[in-house]
Amino acid sequence: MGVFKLGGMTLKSLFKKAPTRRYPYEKREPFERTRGQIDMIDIHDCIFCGLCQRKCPADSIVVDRNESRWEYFPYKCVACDSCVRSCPKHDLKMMQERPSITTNAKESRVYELTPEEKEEKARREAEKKAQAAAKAAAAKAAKEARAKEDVPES
Amino acid sequence: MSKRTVIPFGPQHPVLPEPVHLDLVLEDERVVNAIPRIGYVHRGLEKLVEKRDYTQFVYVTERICGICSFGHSLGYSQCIEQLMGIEITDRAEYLRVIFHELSRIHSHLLWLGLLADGFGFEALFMHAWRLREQVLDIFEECTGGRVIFSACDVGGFRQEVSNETLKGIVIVLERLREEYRTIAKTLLDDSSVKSRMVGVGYLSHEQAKEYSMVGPFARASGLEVDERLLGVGAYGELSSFEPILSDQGDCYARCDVRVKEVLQSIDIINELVAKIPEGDVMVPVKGSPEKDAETMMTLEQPRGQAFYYAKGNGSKFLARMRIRTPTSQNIAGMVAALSGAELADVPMVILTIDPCISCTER
Repeated sequence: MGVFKLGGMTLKSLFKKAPTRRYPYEKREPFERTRGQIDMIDIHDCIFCGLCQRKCPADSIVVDRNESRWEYFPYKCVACDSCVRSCPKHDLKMMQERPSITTNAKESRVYELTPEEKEEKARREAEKKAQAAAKAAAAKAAKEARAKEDVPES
Repeated sequence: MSKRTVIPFGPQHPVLPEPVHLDLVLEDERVVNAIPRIGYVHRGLEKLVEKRDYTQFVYVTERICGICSFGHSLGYSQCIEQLMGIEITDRAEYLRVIFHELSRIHSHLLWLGLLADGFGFEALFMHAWRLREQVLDIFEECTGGRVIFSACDVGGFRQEVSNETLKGIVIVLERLREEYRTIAKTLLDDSSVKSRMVGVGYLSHEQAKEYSMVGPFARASGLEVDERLLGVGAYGELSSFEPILSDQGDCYARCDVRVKEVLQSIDIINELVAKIPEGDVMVPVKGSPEKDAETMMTLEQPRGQAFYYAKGNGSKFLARMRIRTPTSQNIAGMVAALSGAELADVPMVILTIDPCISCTER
Protein backbone atom coordinates (compact mmCIF):
# COMPACT_ATOMS: atom_id res chain seq x y z
CA MET A 1 0.00 0.00 0.00
CA GLY A 2 1.31 3.38 -1.07
CA VAL A 3 0.00 5.04 2.05
CA PHE A 4 2.54 3.18 4.21
CA LYS A 5 5.40 3.93 1.81
CA LEU A 6 4.65 7.63 2.08
CA GLY A 7 4.42 7.19 5.86
CA GLY A 8 7.91 8.52 6.57
CA MET A 9 7.26 11.71 4.68
CA THR A 10 3.82 12.12 6.21
CA LEU A 11 5.16 11.51 9.74
CA LYS A 12 7.86 14.13 9.18
CA SER A 13 5.16 16.57 8.07
CA LEU A 14 3.54 16.12 11.48
CA PHE A 15 6.46 17.82 13.20
CA LYS A 16 7.29 20.39 10.54
CA LYS A 17 5.77 23.81 10.06
CA ALA A 18 2.64 23.60 7.93
CA PRO A 19 3.37 24.33 4.26
CA THR A 20 0.00 26.06 3.94
CA ARG A 21 -1.27 29.21 5.61
CA ARG A 22 -4.69 30.62 6.43
CA TYR A 23 -4.62 32.93 3.48
CA PRO A 24 -6.90 35.92 3.90
CA TYR A 25 -5.76 36.36 7.53
CA GLU A 26 -2.13 35.44 7.06
CA LYS A 27 -0.42 36.93 4.05
CA ARG A 28 3.00 36.02 2.81
CA GLU A 29 5.64 38.67 2.39
CA PRO A 30 5.88 39.38 -1.33
CA PHE A 31 9.18 38.82 -3.12
CA GLU A 32 11.20 41.83 -4.16
CA ARG A 33 10.35 41.30 -7.83
CA THR A 34 6.66 40.44 -7.38
CA ARG A 35 4.59 42.39 -9.85
CA GLY A 36 1.25 43.62 -8.53
CA GLN A 37 0.24 46.88 -10.14
CA ILE A 38 1.89 50.08 -11.30
CA ASP A 39 1.77 53.54 -9.83
CA MET A 40 2.71 57.06 -10.89
CA ILE A 41 5.54 58.46 -8.76
CA ASP A 42 4.99 62.17 -9.41
CA ILE A 43 2.59 63.53 -11.99
CA HIS A 44 4.58 66.78 -12.20
CA ASP A 45 7.51 64.87 -13.72
CA CYS A 46 5.32 63.26 -16.38
CA ILE A 47 5.69 64.79 -19.84
CA PHE A 48 2.51 63.06 -21.15
CA CYS A 49 4.40 61.56 -24.07
CA GLY A 50 2.01 58.57 -24.18
CA LEU A 51 4.77 55.99 -24.60
CA CYS A 52 3.37 53.90 -21.72
CA GLN A 53 -0.04 53.89 -23.40
CA ARG A 54 1.43 52.72 -26.70
CA LYS A 55 3.51 49.97 -25.07
CA CYS A 56 0.67 48.60 -22.91
CA PRO A 57 -0.63 45.29 -24.31
CA ALA A 58 -3.85 45.50 -22.29
CA ASP A 59 -4.88 49.13 -22.98
CA SER A 60 -4.82 49.86 -19.26
CA ILE A 61 -3.26 53.33 -19.52
CA VAL A 62 -4.91 56.36 -21.15
CA VAL A 63 -2.85 59.52 -21.51
CA ASP A 64 -4.42 62.82 -22.54
CA ARG A 65 -1.74 65.28 -23.48
CA ASN A 66 -4.00 68.31 -23.97
CA GLU A 67 -5.74 67.82 -20.62
CA SER A 68 -2.51 66.79 -18.80
CA ARG A 69 -4.28 63.69 -17.56
CA TRP A 70 -2.90 60.20 -16.88
CA GLU A 71 -5.44 57.45 -16.19
CA TYR A 72 -4.72 53.88 -15.09
CA PHE A 73 -7.13 50.92 -15.00
CA PRO A 74 -5.67 48.46 -12.43
CA TYR A 75 -8.15 45.71 -13.27
CA LYS A 76 -7.23 45.75 -16.96
CA CYS A 77 -3.50 45.78 -16.21
CA VAL A 78 -1.58 42.51 -16.65
CA ALA A 79 1.45 43.78 -14.67
CA CYS A 80 3.85 43.07 -17.50
CA ASP A 81 6.20 45.90 -16.55
CA SER A 82 6.60 47.23 -20.13
CA CYS A 83 5.33 50.74 -19.26
CA VAL A 84 7.77 51.01 -16.35
CA ARG A 85 10.63 50.03 -18.64
CA SER A 86 9.58 52.39 -21.43
CA CYS A 87 9.01 55.56 -19.36
CA PRO A 88 11.66 58.10 -20.46
CA LYS A 89 11.32 60.02 -17.17
CA HIS A 90 11.40 56.89 -14.93
CA ASP A 91 8.20 58.19 -13.42
CA LEU A 92 6.36 54.87 -13.10
CA LYS A 93 7.01 52.17 -10.53
CA MET A 94 5.89 48.58 -10.08
CA MET A 95 4.27 47.86 -6.72
CA GLN A 96 4.15 44.48 -5.03
CA GLU A 97 0.55 44.72 -3.80
CA ARG A 98 -2.03 43.40 -6.18
CA PRO A 99 -5.26 45.38 -6.73
CA SER A 100 -7.80 44.53 -4.04
CA ILE A 101 -11.07 42.71 -4.70
CA THR A 102 -13.67 44.92 -6.32
CA THR A 103 -17.22 44.89 -7.64
CA ASN A 104 -16.36 47.53 -10.19
CA ALA A 105 -13.66 46.25 -12.52
CA LYS A 106 -13.86 49.41 -14.62
CA GLU A 107 -12.64 51.70 -11.87
CA SER A 108 -9.53 53.72 -12.59
CA ARG A 109 -6.97 55.94 -10.90
CA VAL A 110 -6.57 59.38 -12.40
CA TYR A 111 -3.55 61.61 -12.00
CA GLU A 112 -4.09 65.12 -13.24
CA LEU A 113 -2.54 68.54 -12.89
CA THR A 114 -4.67 71.07 -10.95
CA PRO A 115 -6.31 73.86 -13.02
CA GLU A 116 -3.71 76.35 -11.75
CA GLU A 117 -0.87 74.05 -12.70
CA LYS A 118 -2.48 73.51 -16.09
CA GLU A 119 -2.70 77.26 -16.61
CA GLU A 120 0.88 77.65 -15.50
CA LYS A 121 1.95 74.87 -17.86
CA ALA A 122 -0.03 76.37 -20.76
CA ARG A 123 1.49 79.78 -20.03
CA ARG A 124 4.99 78.32 -19.94
CA GLU A 125 4.38 76.43 -23.15
CA ALA A 126 3.00 79.53 -24.86
CA GLU A 127 6.03 81.47 -23.66
CA LYS A 128 8.32 78.81 -24.99
CA LYS A 129 6.46 78.81 -28.28
CA ALA A 130 6.64 82.60 -28.52
CA GLN A 131 10.35 82.49 -27.71
CA ALA A 132 10.93 79.83 -30.34
CA ALA A 133 8.87 81.81 -32.88
CA ALA A 134 10.82 84.98 -32.07
CA LYS A 135 14.08 83.11 -32.40
CA ALA A 136 12.99 81.65 -35.74
CA ALA A 137 11.88 85.06 -36.97
CA ALA A 138 15.18 86.59 -35.89
CA ALA A 139 17.11 83.81 -37.57
CA LYS A 140 15.08 84.29 -40.75
CA ALA A 141 15.65 88.04 -40.73
CA ALA A 142 19.37 87.53 -40.18
CA LYS A 143 19.49 85.03 -43.02
CA GLU A 144 17.68 87.43 -45.34
CA ALA A 145 19.97 90.27 -44.34
CA ARG A 146 22.98 88.07 -44.99
CA ALA A 147 21.57 87.07 -48.37
CA LYS A 148 21.09 90.78 -49.21
CA GLU A 149 24.64 91.54 -48.13
CA ASP A 150 25.93 88.62 -50.17
CA VAL A 151 24.21 89.65 -53.40
CA PRO A 152 26.12 92.93 -54.09
CA GLU A 153 29.42 91.30 -53.19
CA SER A 154 28.97 88.52 -55.73
CA MET B 1 -23.21 -8.41 -30.65
CA SER B 2 -24.36 -6.24 -27.83
CA LYS B 3 -26.08 -2.92 -28.29
CA ARG B 4 -23.92 0.18 -28.59
CA THR B 5 -24.38 3.05 -26.17
CA VAL B 6 -22.97 6.54 -26.30
CA ILE B 7 -21.79 8.03 -23.01
CA PRO B 8 -20.72 11.65 -22.92
CA PHE B 9 -17.43 12.43 -21.12
CA GLY B 10 -16.94 16.09 -20.21
CA PRO B 11 -16.79 19.01 -20.93
CA GLN B 12 -17.03 19.16 -17.14
CA HIS B 13 -15.41 16.14 -15.53
CA PRO B 14 -13.80 15.70 -12.10
CA VAL B 15 -10.48 14.39 -13.44
CA LEU B 16 -9.92 17.16 -15.95
CA PRO B 17 -9.78 20.82 -15.04
CA GLU B 18 -10.13 21.78 -18.68
CA PRO B 19 -13.14 21.37 -20.95
CA VAL B 20 -12.96 18.67 -23.60
CA HIS B 21 -15.92 16.64 -24.69
CA LEU B 22 -15.71 13.00 -25.76
CA ASP B 23 -18.58 10.89 -27.00
CA LEU B 24 -17.61 7.41 -25.85
CA VAL B 25 -19.21 4.69 -27.96
CA LEU B 26 -19.51 1.63 -25.72
CA GLU B 27 -20.17 -2.02 -26.28
CA ASP B 28 -21.06 -3.29 -22.82
CA GLU B 29 -18.30 -1.74 -20.71
CA ARG B 30 -15.71 -1.52 -23.46
CA VAL B 31 -15.02 1.64 -25.44
CA VAL B 32 -15.07 0.93 -29.18
CA ASN B 33 -14.76 4.50 -30.37
CA ALA B 34 -14.32 7.96 -28.96
CA ILE B 35 -15.39 11.08 -30.81
CA PRO B 36 -13.64 14.19 -29.46
CA ARG B 37 -15.16 17.63 -29.70
CA ILE B 38 -13.20 20.74 -28.80
CA GLY B 39 -13.93 24.45 -28.98
CA TYR B 40 -15.07 25.29 -25.45
CA VAL B 41 -12.21 27.66 -24.66
CA HIS B 42 -11.37 29.07 -28.07
CA ARG B 43 -10.24 32.68 -27.65
CA GLY B 44 -9.02 33.63 -31.12
CA LEU B 45 -5.53 34.55 -29.90
CA GLU B 46 -3.87 34.06 -33.30
CA LYS B 47 -6.18 36.68 -34.79
CA LEU B 48 -4.92 39.17 -32.21
CA VAL B 49 -1.68 39.72 -34.19
CA GLU B 50 -3.69 42.28 -36.15
CA LYS B 51 -4.31 44.33 -33.01
CA ARG B 52 -1.10 43.89 -31.01
CA ASP B 53 2.33 44.61 -32.36
CA TYR B 54 5.10 42.04 -32.30
CA THR B 55 6.56 43.19 -28.97
CA GLN B 56 3.17 43.16 -27.26
CA PHE B 57 2.25 39.77 -28.70
CA VAL B 58 4.72 38.04 -26.34
CA TYR B 59 2.22 38.67 -23.55
CA VAL B 60 -0.59 37.19 -25.64
CA THR B 61 1.36 34.00 -26.41
CA GLU B 62 2.18 33.64 -22.72
CA ARG B 63 -1.51 33.59 -21.94
CA ILE B 64 -2.30 30.74 -24.32
CA CYS B 65 -1.92 28.35 -21.42
CA GLY B 66 -0.98 28.73 -17.79
CA ILE B 67 1.24 25.67 -17.58
CA CYS B 68 3.18 26.07 -20.83
CA SER B 69 3.34 29.87 -20.57
CA PHE B 70 7.12 30.14 -20.58
CA GLY B 71 7.46 27.70 -23.47
CA HIS B 72 5.07 29.67 -25.63
CA SER B 73 6.80 32.99 -24.99
CA LEU B 74 10.15 31.29 -25.67
CA GLY B 75 8.97 29.75 -28.94
CA TYR B 76 7.44 33.01 -30.11
CA SER B 77 10.52 35.07 -29.20
CA GLN B 78 12.86 32.64 -30.96
CA CYS B 79 10.61 32.75 -34.01
CA ILE B 80 10.64 36.57 -34.18
CA GLU B 81 14.39 36.70 -33.54
CA GLN B 82 14.91 34.34 -36.46
CA LEU B 83 12.56 36.47 -38.60
CA MET B 84 14.43 39.69 -37.83
CA GLY B 85 17.93 38.22 -37.66
CA ILE B 86 18.53 39.13 -34.03
CA GLU B 87 21.29 37.32 -32.21
CA ILE B 88 20.83 37.16 -28.45
CA THR B 89 23.53 36.80 -25.83
CA ASP B 90 24.77 33.44 -24.55
CA ARG B 91 23.68 34.16 -21.00
CA ALA B 92 20.13 34.83 -22.17
CA GLU B 93 20.12 31.51 -24.06
CA TYR B 94 21.19 29.67 -20.91
CA LEU B 95 18.65 31.45 -18.71
CA ARG B 96 15.89 30.67 -21.18
CA VAL B 97 16.68 26.97 -21.18
CA ILE B 98 17.01 26.88 -17.37
CA PHE B 99 13.58 28.45 -16.96
CA HIS B 100 12.08 26.28 -19.67
CA GLU B 101 13.29 23.18 -17.87
CA LEU B 102 12.01 24.55 -14.56
CA SER B 103 8.61 24.99 -16.14
CA ARG B 104 8.79 21.40 -17.37
CA ILE B 105 9.37 20.29 -13.76
CA HIS B 106 6.42 22.39 -12.61
CA SER B 107 4.20 21.03 -15.38
CA HIS B 108 5.08 17.38 -14.68
CA LEU B 109 4.62 17.83 -10.92
CA LEU B 110 1.21 19.35 -11.56
CA TRP B 111 0.36 16.38 -13.76
CA LEU B 112 1.61 13.93 -11.10
CA GLY B 113 -0.66 15.57 -8.54
CA LEU B 114 -3.66 15.42 -10.86
CA LEU B 115 -2.96 11.77 -11.63
CA ALA B 116 -2.74 10.91 -7.94
CA ASP B 117 -5.96 12.81 -7.35
CA GLY B 118 -7.59 10.85 -10.18
CA PHE B 119 -6.61 7.66 -8.36
CA GLY B 120 -7.95 8.94 -5.07
CA PHE B 121 -4.39 8.97 -3.71
CA GLU B 122 -4.81 12.24 -1.81
CA ALA B 123 -1.55 12.12 0.18
CA LEU B 124 0.55 11.82 -2.95
CA PHE B 125 -1.42 14.61 -4.61
CA MET B 126 -0.68 16.94 -1.68
CA HIS B 127 3.02 16.06 -1.61
CA ALA B 128 3.42 16.53 -5.38
CA TRP B 129 1.83 19.96 -5.23
CA ARG B 130 3.86 20.90 -2.18
CA LEU B 131 7.02 20.22 -4.20
CA ARG B 132 5.61 22.14 -7.15
CA GLU B 133 5.10 25.12 -4.88
CA GLN B 134 8.87 25.32 -4.33
CA VAL B 135 9.37 25.63 -8.09
CA LEU B 136 6.69 28.34 -8.28
CA ASP B 137 8.50 30.22 -5.52
CA ILE B 138 11.69 30.11 -7.59
CA PHE B 139 9.75 31.64 -10.49
CA GLU B 140 8.28 34.39 -8.38
CA GLU B 141 11.59 35.23 -6.80
CA CYS B 142 13.43 35.43 -10.12
CA THR B 143 10.86 36.86 -12.50
CA GLY B 144 8.09 38.36 -10.38
CA GLY B 145 5.30 36.10 -11.58
CA ARG B 146 4.16 32.69 -10.37
CA VAL B 147 2.53 31.40 -13.53
CA ILE B 148 2.87 34.17 -16.12
CA PHE B 149 6.48 35.31 -15.90
CA SER B 150 6.79 38.01 -18.61
CA ALA B 151 10.48 37.13 -18.48
CA CYS B 152 11.19 35.98 -22.01
CA ASP B 153 11.06 38.75 -24.56
CA VAL B 154 12.16 39.36 -28.14
CA GLY B 155 15.86 40.11 -27.72
CA GLY B 156 16.68 37.99 -24.70
CA PHE B 157 15.62 37.57 -21.10
CA ARG B 158 14.18 40.57 -19.28
CA GLN B 159 15.31 39.89 -15.74
CA GLU B 160 18.94 39.48 -14.81
CA VAL B 161 19.23 36.47 -12.52
CA SER B 162 22.45 36.53 -10.52
CA ASN B 163 24.78 33.56 -10.25
CA GLU B 164 24.09 33.34 -6.50
CA THR B 165 20.34 33.01 -7.16
CA LEU B 166 21.05 30.31 -9.73
CA LYS B 167 23.14 28.40 -7.20
CA GLY B 168 20.27 28.77 -4.74
CA ILE B 169 17.95 27.24 -7.35
CA VAL B 170 20.28 24.24 -7.68
CA ILE B 171 20.24 23.71 -3.90
CA VAL B 172 16.42 23.85 -3.82
CA LEU B 173 16.22 21.40 -6.72
CA GLU B 174 18.66 18.97 -5.07
CA ARG B 175 16.46 18.92 -1.98
CA LEU B 176 13.41 18.53 -4.19
CA ARG B 177 15.02 15.61 -6.02
CA GLU B 178 15.27 13.52 -2.85
CA GLU B 179 11.65 14.07 -1.85
CA TYR B 180 10.51 13.63 -5.42
CA ARG B 181 12.26 10.27 -5.66
CA THR B 182 10.31 9.08 -2.61
CA ILE B 183 6.92 10.04 -3.98
CA ALA B 184 7.71 8.83 -7.51
CA LYS B 185 8.83 5.47 -6.12
CA THR B 186 5.67 5.25 -4.07
CA LEU B 187 3.58 5.77 -7.18
CA LEU B 188 5.46 3.50 -9.55
CA ASP B 189 6.06 0.59 -7.14
CA ASP B 190 2.54 0.51 -5.80
CA SER B 191 0.71 -2.71 -6.63
CA SER B 192 -2.72 -1.08 -6.95
CA VAL B 193 -1.28 1.59 -9.27
CA LYS B 194 0.31 -1.13 -11.38
CA SER B 195 -2.85 -3.18 -11.57
CA ARG B 196 -4.76 -0.15 -12.81
CA MET B 197 -2.21 1.03 -15.35
CA VAL B 198 -0.13 -1.81 -16.77
CA GLY B 199 -1.49 -2.79 -20.17
CA VAL B 200 -4.23 -0.15 -20.13
CA GLY B 201 -4.57 2.35 -22.99
CA TYR B 202 -1.97 0.60 -25.13
CA LEU B 203 -0.60 2.36 -28.20
CA SER B 204 1.91 0.54 -30.37
CA HIS B 205 5.08 1.99 -31.86
CA GLU B 206 3.57 1.74 -35.38
CA GLN B 207 0.42 3.56 -34.32
CA ALA B 208 2.46 6.30 -32.66
CA LYS B 209 4.39 6.75 -35.89
CA GLU B 210 1.26 6.69 -38.02
CA TYR B 211 -0.48 9.37 -35.96
CA SER B 212 2.68 11.59 -35.80
CA MET B 213 2.56 11.61 -32.05
CA VAL B 214 4.78 13.92 -30.03
CA GLY B 215 6.08 14.31 -26.51
CA PRO B 216 6.14 11.83 -23.62
CA PHE B 217 3.08 10.10 -25.11
CA ALA B 218 5.09 9.13 -28.21
CA ARG B 219 8.27 8.42 -26.25
CA ALA B 220 6.36 5.96 -24.08
CA SER B 221 5.62 4.01 -27.28
CA GLY B 222 9.31 3.94 -28.16
CA LEU B 223 9.22 6.74 -30.74
CA GLU B 224 12.34 8.87 -30.45
CA VAL B 225 10.94 12.36 -30.93
CA ASP B 226 12.38 15.17 -28.86
CA GLU B 227 13.04 18.67 -30.18
CA ARG B 228 15.77 19.11 -27.58
CA LEU B 229 17.88 16.74 -29.68
CA LEU B 230 18.17 19.49 -32.34
CA GLY B 231 20.30 21.47 -29.89
CA VAL B 232 18.66 24.86 -30.45
CA GLY B 233 19.84 27.50 -27.96
CA ALA B 234 21.69 26.25 -24.90
CA TYR B 235 20.53 22.66 -25.50
CA GLY B 236 23.44 22.43 -27.91
CA GLU B 237 25.85 23.08 -25.03
CA LEU B 238 24.79 19.99 -23.06
CA SER B 239 27.48 17.33 -22.82
CA SER B 240 24.98 14.58 -23.58
CA PHE B 241 21.27 14.34 -24.03
CA GLU B 242 19.28 11.15 -24.43
CA PRO B 243 15.49 11.29 -24.56
CA ILE B 244 13.78 8.97 -22.10
CA LEU B 245 12.07 6.16 -23.93
CA SER B 246 9.94 3.19 -23.06
CA ASP B 247 8.63 0.46 -25.34
CA GLN B 248 5.62 -0.60 -23.30
CA GLY B 249 3.18 1.98 -24.75
CA ASP B 250 0.66 1.71 -21.90
CA CYS B 251 -0.46 4.12 -19.15
CA TYR B 252 2.27 2.90 -16.81
CA ALA B 253 5.00 3.58 -19.39
CA ARG B 254 3.72 7.10 -19.91
CA CYS B 255 3.90 7.75 -16.17
CA ASP B 256 7.36 6.26 -16.03
CA VAL B 257 8.64 8.50 -18.85
CA ARG B 258 7.22 11.66 -17.28
CA VAL B 259 8.49 10.81 -13.83
CA LYS B 260 12.02 10.28 -15.17
CA GLU B 261 11.88 13.48 -17.24
CA VAL B 262 11.67 15.56 -14.08
CA LEU B 263 14.96 14.08 -12.85
CA GLN B 264 16.49 14.62 -16.29
CA SER B 265 15.40 18.29 -16.22
CA ILE B 266 17.06 18.75 -12.83
CA ASP B 267 20.28 17.33 -14.30
CA ILE B 268 20.07 19.69 -17.29
CA ILE B 269 19.59 22.70 -14.99
CA ASN B 270 22.54 21.64 -12.80
CA GLU B 271 24.80 21.32 -15.81
CA LEU B 272 23.78 24.65 -17.35
CA VAL B 273 24.06 26.55 -14.06
CA ALA B 274 27.60 25.19 -13.66
CA LYS B 275 28.72 26.59 -17.00
CA ILE B 276 26.56 29.67 -17.52
CA PRO B 277 28.62 32.49 -19.10
CA GLU B 278 28.68 36.07 -17.82
CA GLY B 279 27.27 38.94 -19.85
CA ASP B 280 24.19 40.94 -20.70
CA VAL B 281 20.82 39.28 -20.96
CA MET B 282 19.05 41.62 -23.34
CA VAL B 283 19.98 43.09 -26.71
CA PRO B 284 18.11 46.16 -28.00
CA VAL B 285 15.56 45.39 -30.68
CA LYS B 286 14.89 47.95 -33.42
CA GLY B 287 12.82 47.90 -36.57
CA SER B 288 10.14 45.48 -37.57
CA PRO B 289 9.93 42.22 -39.54
CA GLU B 290 10.27 42.62 -43.30
CA LYS B 291 7.33 42.25 -45.63
CA ASP B 292 6.59 38.63 -46.60
CA ALA B 293 9.52 37.32 -44.54
CA GLU B 294 8.41 34.07 -42.97
CA THR B 295 9.94 31.59 -40.61
CA MET B 296 9.13 28.61 -38.42
CA MET B 297 10.44 27.29 -35.15
CA THR B 298 9.89 24.14 -33.14
CA LEU B 299 10.28 23.68 -29.43
CA GLU B 300 9.92 20.82 -26.95
CA GLN B 301 7.16 21.82 -24.57
CA PRO B 302 6.40 19.71 -21.47
CA ARG B 303 3.77 17.92 -23.56
CA GLY B 304 5.77 17.62 -26.76
CA GLN B 305 6.69 19.44 -29.91
CA ALA B 306 5.15 22.85 -30.44
CA PHE B 307 5.40 24.56 -33.81
CA TYR B 308 5.51 28.32 -34.39
CA TYR B 309 5.14 30.10 -37.71
CA ALA B 310 5.33 33.85 -38.27
CA LYS B 311 5.05 36.04 -41.34
CA GLY B 312 5.90 39.73 -41.37
CA ASN B 313 4.08 42.43 -43.30
CA GLY B 314 6.61 45.24 -43.23
CA SER B 315 5.04 47.03 -40.28
CA LYS B 316 5.32 46.30 -36.58
CA PHE B 317 2.26 44.08 -36.86
CA LEU B 318 2.72 40.52 -38.09
CA ALA B 319 0.78 39.30 -41.10
CA ARG B 320 0.23 35.84 -39.63
CA MET B 321 1.10 33.93 -36.50
CA ARG B 322 0.38 30.25 -36.26
CA ILE B 323 1.01 27.97 -33.33
CA ARG B 324 0.47 24.23 -33.38
CA THR B 325 0.53 22.75 -29.94
CA PRO B 326 1.44 19.21 -28.83
CA THR B 327 -2.03 18.22 -27.67
CA SER B 328 -3.62 18.96 -31.03
CA GLN B 329 -1.10 16.51 -32.50
CA ASN B 330 -1.90 13.93 -29.84
CA ILE B 331 -5.71 13.91 -30.06
CA ALA B 332 -5.69 11.23 -32.78
CA GLY B 333 -3.48 9.07 -30.58
CA MET B 334 -5.72 9.70 -27.59
CA VAL B 335 -8.72 8.36 -29.54
CA ALA B 336 -6.66 5.31 -30.57
CA ALA B 337 -5.52 4.67 -27.01
CA LEU B 338 -9.08 4.97 -25.74
CA SER B 339 -10.61 2.41 -28.09
CA GLY B 340 -10.49 -0.95 -26.40
CA ALA B 341 -10.25 0.47 -22.89
CA GLU B 342 -12.79 -0.19 -20.15
CA LEU B 343 -15.14 2.70 -19.31
CA ALA B 344 -13.68 2.90 -15.79
CA ASP B 345 -10.17 3.24 -17.25
CA VAL B 346 -11.04 6.22 -19.49
CA PRO B 347 -10.08 8.89 -16.89
CA MET B 348 -6.74 7.12 -16.32
CA VAL B 349 -5.95 6.96 -20.04
CA ILE B 350 -6.78 10.64 -20.53
CA LEU B 351 -4.81 11.71 -17.46
CA THR B 352 -1.67 9.86 -18.49
CA ILE B 353 -1.84 11.53 -21.91
CA ASP B 354 -2.01 14.87 -20.07
CA PRO B 355 -3.95 16.88 -22.65
CA CYS B 356 -3.75 20.66 -22.47
CA ILE B 357 -6.98 21.95 -23.93
CA SER B 358 -6.30 25.70 -23.65
CA CYS B 359 -3.15 25.19 -25.73
CA THR B 360 -5.04 23.19 -28.32
CA GLU B 361 -7.78 25.74 -28.81
CA ARG B 362 -5.88 29.01 -28.30
